[in-house]
Amino acid sequence: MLAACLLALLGFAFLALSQERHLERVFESNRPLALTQLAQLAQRATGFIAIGLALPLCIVGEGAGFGCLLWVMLTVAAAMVTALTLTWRPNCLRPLARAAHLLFSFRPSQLP
Amino acid sequence: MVLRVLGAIGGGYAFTAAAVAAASAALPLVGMSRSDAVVLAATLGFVLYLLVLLWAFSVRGLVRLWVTLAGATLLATGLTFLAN
Amino acid sequence: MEPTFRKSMAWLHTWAGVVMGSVLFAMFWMGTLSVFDREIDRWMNPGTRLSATLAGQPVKLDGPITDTAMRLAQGSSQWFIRLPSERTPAVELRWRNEASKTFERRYLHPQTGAVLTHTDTLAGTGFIFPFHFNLHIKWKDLGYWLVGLAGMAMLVLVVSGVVIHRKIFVDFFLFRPRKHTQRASLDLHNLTGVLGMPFHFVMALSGLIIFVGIYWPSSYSAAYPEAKDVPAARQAFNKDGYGQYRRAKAGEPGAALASLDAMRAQARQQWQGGEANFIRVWQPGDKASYVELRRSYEDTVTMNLDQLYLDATSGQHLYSFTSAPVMTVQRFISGLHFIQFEHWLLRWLYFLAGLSGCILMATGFIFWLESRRASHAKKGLHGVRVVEALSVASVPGIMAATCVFFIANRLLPLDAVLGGYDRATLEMWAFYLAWLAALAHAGWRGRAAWREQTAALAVLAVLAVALNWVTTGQHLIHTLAGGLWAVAGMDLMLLGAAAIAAVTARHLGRKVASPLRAAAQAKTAPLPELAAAQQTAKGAGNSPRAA
Repeated sequence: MLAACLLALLGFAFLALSQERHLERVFESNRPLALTQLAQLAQRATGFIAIGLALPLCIVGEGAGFGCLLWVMLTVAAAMVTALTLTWRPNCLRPLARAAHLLFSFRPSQLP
Repeated sequence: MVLRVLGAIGGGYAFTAAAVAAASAALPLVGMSRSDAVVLAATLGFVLYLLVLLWAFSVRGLVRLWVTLAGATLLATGLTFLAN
Repeated sequence: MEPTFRKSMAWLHTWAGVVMGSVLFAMFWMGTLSVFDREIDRWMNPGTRLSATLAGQPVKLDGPITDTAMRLAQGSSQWFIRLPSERTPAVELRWRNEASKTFERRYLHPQTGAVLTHTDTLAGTGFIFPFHFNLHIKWKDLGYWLVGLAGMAMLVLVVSGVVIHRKIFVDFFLFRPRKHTQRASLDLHNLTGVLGMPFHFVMALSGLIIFVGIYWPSSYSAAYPEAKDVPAARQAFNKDGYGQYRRAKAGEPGAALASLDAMRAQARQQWQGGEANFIRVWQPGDKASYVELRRSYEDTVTMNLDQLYLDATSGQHLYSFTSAPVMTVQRFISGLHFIQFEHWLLRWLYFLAGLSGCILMATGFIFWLESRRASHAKKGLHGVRVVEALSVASVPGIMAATCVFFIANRLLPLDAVLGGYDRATLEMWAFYLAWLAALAHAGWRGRAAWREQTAALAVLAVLAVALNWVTTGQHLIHTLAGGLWAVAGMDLMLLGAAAIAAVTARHLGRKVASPLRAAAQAKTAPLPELAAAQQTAKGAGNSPRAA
């Protein structure tokens, strides 16, 4: 159950952080910080997969009926939490952004 | 404007209700129990009504709106009679 | 309509929102509260504030509980019992009052069968929850039809909203609260709308689907052509789809009621371990009396229709029912809307999602008002004034009226009667009068009413908590320590609402007109330094860094 929540949160965070506008907010920088096309694609794909993986976890933990309901509600909640974190505490996402950059870019970090 | 809203909401409902009736009459003919047929037809009816509303508020021309809805409603009512 | 589909959808979204927004907010607000309707019941009916640990203990129906039921329901054509659950630790007993043709309700202690101190109130399950699906407008079912129209409007609003939201993915996580009101409210409207879309759409559609038996009267005669009229056809459908058994009165007295606990055991066996949590005795005392048992759905989403009818004196099996396949799916869809199951995480998620829906509608109103305020004032149109009054009454207004409902509940004496109206009705009057007052106040005060009513809401919510302490002595520390989670939760929610309302009211009060606008209103030229500062501020506002 907890794993499902974390996966959903992680997934949405990855999706959000794959957008340039949000990366710039997280690092409070005016320099262009866009990911390469490939890195963006990889990060977004991972984000979607993480969110998707939360579904079987919910079903295994709670049964088919509750599991599906819970997954839908969790995705709504995780998306909201991500958006609000970005709005009011963007710095919290910095470690995650760096980790994502390490994982998906195949060159040294350009992040401040 | 009033005609548009009346046509969309009222006319749209008239057509959808006729379609739901037609389905309720027709589905038992393929083996579904009658109460199940009503439930299925009614459930799909809400989705159909939504689509009809979206169409009715975007189609160009009031005449086209009213004529199409009237025609479709007559068709559906006819189908209901046939099925019964 | 308009030249493009998107423009038509923009027109539709705006008009459907403005026209149906008040009804929709009321439904969403009451719906969100209904998530915790049983907890509200505990708060408003202090006699039922039993410890939740009682729910785990087995309940014996034969003996004090049945005796009390037979005594209180003397002369009634039916009485029924709902067995306790975690959220409702008491036994709920209801019986039909033949004179007024309404149902009386009393709560009994699950172990001793004693009648708990009764507060005559409709509370959460009797006022707030029904408000959500029929607006308490009973005349010719108008309430149901208005709710149905609102439900369809919600579906239309969600779909048209998606169509007109051009940058739906680019702006997915975007929220800029520090921008001016129009932009901030549109951001929040889009955020709650897009991120909450699965919830909003499914709740609207599932809500409509619950009432398949109301909204398509044409379908019954079509499926049951042999019925002589629509009501008869509808009866036939209800019987086939929902199950029903009726047996005429014999007119002569019968033997004593057999053991209800034995009947529960019989039901448990038939349903392979499923428990009966609803037991109704029809025509008690009559020779043709019979007992209806219905299966609990606390542990599953689907609100099953499993029911068993037994003869009241012999226990002989009369009728069993279980739903057909399509109906079972409809009951699953109903179940995910009603959320009668026991699952605390899901319940809280629904509550928060419901609140996001309320924010969605409130920000919709605010955005509409802000974007038209200037142009309407210039053209001398009244639209903004009218919609503003309605919006204030619809948003902080109804919330404040709900607090007045809670306050009236704490203030009215237990057996209050005024002008022929019983206590429960008086509480309802308090709600409606407060709502009406909110509308009048909003019409009189205009834009300032937002802050004033939000501030009033904060005060009223705290007052409700204080009154609970004064009238029951069960303040927050007591309830938290004693495990009375329902009451503690309600008090905490009220305090939380008060805090948010207070902060919001302060925020609204601090919105001073910008120096440039103030100068323009005073018809003087703004100072050059000010103008320059405003320009750079505007420029900086476009970079992603600006908060």
